[in-house]
Amino acid sequence: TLSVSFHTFSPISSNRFEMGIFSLPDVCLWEIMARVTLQDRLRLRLVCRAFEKLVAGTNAGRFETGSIKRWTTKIRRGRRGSVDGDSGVIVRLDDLEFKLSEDRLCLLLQLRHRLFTGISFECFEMKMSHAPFRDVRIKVRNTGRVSSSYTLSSMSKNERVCRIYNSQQLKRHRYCLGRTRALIMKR
Amino acid sequence: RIYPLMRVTLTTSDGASVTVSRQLTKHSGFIEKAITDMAVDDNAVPLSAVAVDVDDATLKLVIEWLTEHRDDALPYPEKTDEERRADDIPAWDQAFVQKWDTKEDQQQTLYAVITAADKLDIKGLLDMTCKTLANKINGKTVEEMREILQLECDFTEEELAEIRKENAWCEN
Repeated sequence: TLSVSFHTFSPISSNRFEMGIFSLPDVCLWEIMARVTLQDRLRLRLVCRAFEKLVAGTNAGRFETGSIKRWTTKIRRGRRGSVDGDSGVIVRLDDLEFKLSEDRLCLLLQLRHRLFTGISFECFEMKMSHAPFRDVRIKVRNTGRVSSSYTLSSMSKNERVCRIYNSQQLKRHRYCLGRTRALIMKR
Repeated sequence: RIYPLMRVTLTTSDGASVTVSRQLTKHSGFIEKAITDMAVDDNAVPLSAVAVDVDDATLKLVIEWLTEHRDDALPYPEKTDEERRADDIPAWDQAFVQKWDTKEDQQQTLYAVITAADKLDIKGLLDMTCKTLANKINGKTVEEMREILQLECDFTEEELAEIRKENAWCEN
């Protein structure tokens, strides 16, 4: 028989009623925060200062699909056709969809560091060569895993992404848009 | 060397002792490391200086979970740090955690088991309890979250208004 002793430094039995979520080890907090939804992250920011900090300092986890696409309304001008009206982007995260105007998009880009340190997708699509993203620094990091399906779509409009993408031989890549990450897979 | 019939006596921080088979403790990376790091001979070898705070009540819950999961495959499947699924808790585990709901300090029990699973390096139990806590939070209002997590709001009204303003892009 082996004997393992759990020595008493601060016995849980005497401190149990003082335990709180922030008594948990960091690794547990990261595990939990990777499993709450984005809407829950927004609400958790309002719970207390410690949670506001935790939300900003943890990864939002992995989503199956994500996309950013541009939208524009057309204004008819008599018989001569139409001109572009309001515009913005549609951001989709799995089954969540946000239609954002230009100014809201800029707000989103500014605020994302308060919502998570990173966010990952199995499949990510960006149909735009839109100004706010044109100068975003993009990193490619090979995940070492091979996956099977994704169409690059009009991602090629972003020349820098396209150049990095085409220079890689493996099928699956991780892109970082600032601190926002995306996984993109070649068919 | 592995001794499948070996029994391990666990002594908790509050002085209680429980003897369990190696078949259960093999799921604890911490205990396994403590055992294998020593020059184990054929017979009993005392282990010492293992600094983990686990009380009797928590250890009983951990052993109950280990007993149910004694035949689980090892090593525990590797997952990415970005895995976010929380809806795949096995039925037995759900019932196991729901039993705590009858206790006055259910949230404290959950925290204690999460801490024990982390310290003892029992990946399956840690994974399940973290998912359970995430599920408790998911979909709740801010007030409900504070109540579940037993936290007080330390923001001023102005600060809350500012955060709500920042959140507005998503809530609509």
